[in-house]
Amino acid sequence: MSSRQEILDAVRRNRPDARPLPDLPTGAALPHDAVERFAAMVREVGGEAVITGDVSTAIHNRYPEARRVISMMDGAPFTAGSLDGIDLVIIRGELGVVENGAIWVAESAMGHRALPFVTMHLVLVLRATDLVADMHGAYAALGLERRTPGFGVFISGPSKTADIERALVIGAQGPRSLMVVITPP
Amino acid sequence: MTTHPEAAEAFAQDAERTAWHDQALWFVRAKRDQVTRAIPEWEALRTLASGIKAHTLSRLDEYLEQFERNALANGVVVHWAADADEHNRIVLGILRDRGATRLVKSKSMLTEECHLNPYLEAHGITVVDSDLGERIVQLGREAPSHIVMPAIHKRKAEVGALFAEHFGTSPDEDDPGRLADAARGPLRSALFGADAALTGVNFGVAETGGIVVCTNEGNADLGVHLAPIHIACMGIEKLVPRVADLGVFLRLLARSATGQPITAYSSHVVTPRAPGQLHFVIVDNGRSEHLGRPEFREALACIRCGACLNTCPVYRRSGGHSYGSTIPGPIGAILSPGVDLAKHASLPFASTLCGSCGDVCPVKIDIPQQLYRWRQMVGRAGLLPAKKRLTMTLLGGVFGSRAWYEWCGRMARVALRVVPGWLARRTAWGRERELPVAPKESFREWYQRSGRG
Ligand code: SF4
Repeated sequence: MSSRQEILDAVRRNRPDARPLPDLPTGAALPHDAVERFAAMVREVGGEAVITGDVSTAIHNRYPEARRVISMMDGAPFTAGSLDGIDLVIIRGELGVVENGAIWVAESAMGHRALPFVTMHLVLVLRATDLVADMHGAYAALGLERRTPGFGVFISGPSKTADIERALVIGAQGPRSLMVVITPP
Repeated sequence: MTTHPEAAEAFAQDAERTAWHDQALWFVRAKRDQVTRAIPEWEALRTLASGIKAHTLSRLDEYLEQFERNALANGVVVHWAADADEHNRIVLGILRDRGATRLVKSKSMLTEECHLNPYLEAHGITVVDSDLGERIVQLGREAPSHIVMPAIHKRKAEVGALFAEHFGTSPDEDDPGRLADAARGPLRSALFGADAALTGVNFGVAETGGIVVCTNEGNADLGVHLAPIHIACMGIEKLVPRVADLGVFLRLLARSATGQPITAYSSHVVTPRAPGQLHFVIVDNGRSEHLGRPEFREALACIRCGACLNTCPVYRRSGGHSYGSTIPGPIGAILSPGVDLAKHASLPFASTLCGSCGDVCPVKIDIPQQLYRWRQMVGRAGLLPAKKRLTMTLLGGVFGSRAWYEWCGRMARVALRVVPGWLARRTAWGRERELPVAPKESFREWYQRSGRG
């Protein structure tokens, strides 16, 4: 008998009596100061947050030294060569979550799945209108059960580690900084 | 066979390290308290999570089949492994098929459980653990001592010494920032140069056939989006029915684990990247058997947050290696006896039954109750150490007879006055304790004397 069948049979034999599947919360209402709270949470998780309509100036002011810059804002696939040695990647975020500063980025916005991770610095651009209060609201809004991208990720802050004596170090293997530009309606 | 008290004694030899370890983990516990208090519906979330897991386990075979069906439709290759050996053989087979020799791994307690690294290395595969903490213990030829903070037992000077040997840093370097920076280059080179990437799975979603992997460093993503092969190894108990269930679990996981509102990256992998292969290895290795133990099966709901370790007064002072199993701490102490009762007979006793682990567990596993039940199993199986068995038999006699109990009480009160403290400190129980001052009379004597009897 195959291991698959063996495992499924054992599970069927040993599973407990039926238990109901609980209903899920649909998410809290968005607070009136959602943008400020979201920005504060992005900072709390080690990121930077700017609220401005002038995205390119904000990026230029923060990363004047960046040489190899890849912008995915126009939604074209990434074809610009090596994934190594990228200073800055700019990607549009789809949805921001106020309770934890996380931003959902789907594969189609990245150009290449590795881009948000290989770059030295990452900029995520998010519309102030694309915010939800919590993770329940996020999954309700994304509707991943109906259309799930091949890959998608919630990004909350830059890459970090605390593996040496619990000391927080920003910029482990991934980006050393994350700037979130929130564009007002 | 080393028992928990023996191994713990070795850890506790270094008083300074033990004190640091205790404090560092207590700090994480305190952070967890702080962030959970900021969520007014925290208790409702725990109840929900526990309910979702209980439901999933009650229909696990159906969800496994649904998960497999959807994964296959997404272009994933699905493998089933009955035990650790089969798991290891499957992983090696996938690598050999593509001539892959350089594997990067990101934190997976399951592959630790299966002892995958030594197996692959014996077959000519170079394995680099890409999580910084995992890399530190790998370089030190040790096992992780914590399920979320693998190198928590190591002091920064020891990490400095390891990095001096392997990465050429100064032997005196002990700044965590500079040390992490020194590891960044070599780790990134390994990630960029790998033929295949292996990850664990935090959650498998039956409804979509996708998996979710949570990390802070981004190492899992660097590995899987750069290498042409992604192998994800998942225990059968990792499933949730609906993608929206993740809203509950992602709110609980990082807050319970490290006091963060969410991990830096919560990656949802559904299809292979183009071009590339995606393999899921679904592993049983004793889990279906555990499911068949009604009194113990709720331990399968564990989401491996580590909160029960951080809060445990015994774990904090004895270190993860003292448990002699892949999963240490309270959760390890209730899972390991199910794997090998004789080998892990001392683990259910590595607890004060203070109940703190059950209070912090985000999926509401009644760990103290399970510890207590395993103690009874150990006793029934005749696996208690001779000394404990003798004590239990004697105590059983004492508690079984009123006259005998009263006489012993009187004797104990005399003994506490005349026996010197050093004698008591020669026992494992008394080593770190002072003897109490003996009362002149027992409660019963007092009760009767005051004319209330
Ligand atoms: S038993 Fe509960 S507290 Fe312990 S690791 Fe598992 S989920 Fe976390």
